[in-house]
Amino acid sequence: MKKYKYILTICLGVFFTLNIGAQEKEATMTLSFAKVDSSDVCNVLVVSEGKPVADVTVKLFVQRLFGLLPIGKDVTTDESGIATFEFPSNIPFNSDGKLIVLAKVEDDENYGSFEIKSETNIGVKEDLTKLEKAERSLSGSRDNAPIYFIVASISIITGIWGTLIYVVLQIFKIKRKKTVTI
Amino acid sequence: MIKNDISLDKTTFETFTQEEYMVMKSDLLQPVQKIGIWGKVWIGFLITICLLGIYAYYIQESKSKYVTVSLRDYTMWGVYISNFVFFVALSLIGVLMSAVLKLTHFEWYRPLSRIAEIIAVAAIMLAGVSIVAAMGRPDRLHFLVLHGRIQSPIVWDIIVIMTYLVTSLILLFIPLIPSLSTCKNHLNGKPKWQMKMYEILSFGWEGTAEQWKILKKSMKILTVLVIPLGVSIHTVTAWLFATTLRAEWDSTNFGAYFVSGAFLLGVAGMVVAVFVIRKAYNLEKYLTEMHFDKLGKALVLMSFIYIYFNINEYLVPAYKMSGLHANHLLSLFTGDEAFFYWSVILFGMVIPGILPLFPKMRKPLPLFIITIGVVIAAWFKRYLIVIPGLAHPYLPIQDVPNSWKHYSPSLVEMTIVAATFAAMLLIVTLFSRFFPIISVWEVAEGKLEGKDEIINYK
Repeated sequence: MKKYKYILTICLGVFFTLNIGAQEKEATMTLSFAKVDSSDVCNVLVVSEGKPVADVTVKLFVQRLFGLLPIGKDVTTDESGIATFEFPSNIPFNSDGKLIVLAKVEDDENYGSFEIKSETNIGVKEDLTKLEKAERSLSGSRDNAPIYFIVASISIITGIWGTLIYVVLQIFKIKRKKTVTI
Repeated sequence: MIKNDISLDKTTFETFTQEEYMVMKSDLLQPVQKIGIWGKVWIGFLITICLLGIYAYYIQESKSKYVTVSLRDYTMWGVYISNFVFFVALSLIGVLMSAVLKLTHFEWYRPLSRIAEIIAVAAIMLAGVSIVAAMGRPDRLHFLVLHGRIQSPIVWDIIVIMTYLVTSLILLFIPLIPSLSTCKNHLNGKPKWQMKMYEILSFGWEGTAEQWKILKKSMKILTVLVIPLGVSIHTVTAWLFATTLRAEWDSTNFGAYFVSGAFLLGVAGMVVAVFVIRKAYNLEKYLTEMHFDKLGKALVLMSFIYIYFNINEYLVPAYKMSGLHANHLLSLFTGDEAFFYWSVILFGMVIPGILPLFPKMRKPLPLFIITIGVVIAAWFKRYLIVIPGLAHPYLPIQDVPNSWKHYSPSLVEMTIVAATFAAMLLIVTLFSRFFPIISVWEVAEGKLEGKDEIINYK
């Protein structure tokens, strides 16, 4: 029995040693924005153990209300560890005037998955006034229903409910007529 | 019947004597007079299911809905809404079986009208309950009035459902007034409160010529009014779908398609109700084989009209088979829902369209079996309109958990649906236990064949 325990301990020891050896290395990213020929670019620098890492595929996103909006195609880092994305300048930013930008590395064979979140003030302020339709229309707000629609609805509703009220009054008339017998 | 020695009445009434009228009264008041043991068991059973439904609703509302129901971002309308459409369709039974037949002078409507009207009232009530069960925030129901847009089909639906419910209730109540007076005068051994209820609700009815005149006039107005209302309620229900952005609901045919389906369900529901009421209350003398014969013929007509609209609804997009429709149509024709879809077509349209062409199939039992199939198929038909429609949106479904892509109702949802059915049957059952389910005076008036006025019968 002792012998088996000894073998088991050795096996487990070898297994953990191998496993630690095969573990992914740690890497980090930094995001920076720059202007190149009047267009914006986003540089993602991938560093591991203080050295830039090449050949890592990076994805760039902007956080929106219900999910992440991908920016451009995936870019692989060059020898200096930098992945350069063209960053569109027409994305509407949040109410605080900022965009939240995310860079992600997913399932890299050496470094696994990791991400970084950063802020930028590149973007445009959304003109919400164009959503608030001022004119009356079927798609307008409660206060902007078309006049013809309100008139038609109220006429139909009044006509039908008026008839119903008339009929109910008739029922009460039945009670009043009970004294007149034939 | 008892005609031989009634010299008193013979001079005035050739076909129908006062004594026959008394026999009819006692026949038709029988279900109100005495409730047997099975009647009580049936009511107890229905109440139990209703209570289970209330408990299920309590679970749904007290825990997060995501735990208790299978509704998600895509299939946000599940069995509750298909159940709602089913009940709205069923409520058109009152329009068809009472109003249309009455106005077109089909005299055989007489014993059927009140059955149809109480089913209509019960169905529309439970349609409303189904909507509330489907609501994410039922506590905000009144927001529909406070913040609703008049341009929104949901608001039209609420308005038209309320109007139709009130109209149906008044239309049920007005012809009931003379019957309430009959109950007051002829029932005995009933609790005091019940007799008091008859007394109050009969509005001092004495059957005077003036009272009859007012009653007939009011009935006529409502009978005319209820037809466009009934058509509107189901058309607006169809528009709830047709105005929502889903490829398979994008149809100009939808209103007529829904109304024709409702009329088919109305006839089928009527046959089922008449068969059960006839057996349970021994009313074979009033709900005769002739009624089944006529209803069987109506069933064939309505089946073919519905088949026509179904061909319009499915053949045209299937012929083009555009990308938007292909997914949905193929899943119905040959895919996951094919078994359901073809069963619905077979039992819900083809069989009721063909079998009752043969007179033997228009006898009570065969017709009852056929129409049970139609009613079940009609429920699944609404399921097939609502759920696969939602599961195929314009933008492809992606990056969502797998469970969001498919819908199958949870136990809580099915219990609530079962409870709505039980509640509908309970309303009809209780009504038939407190009020004559067949209108005595309307049937008597029919017997007179226009030779005399009903006002002479007390």
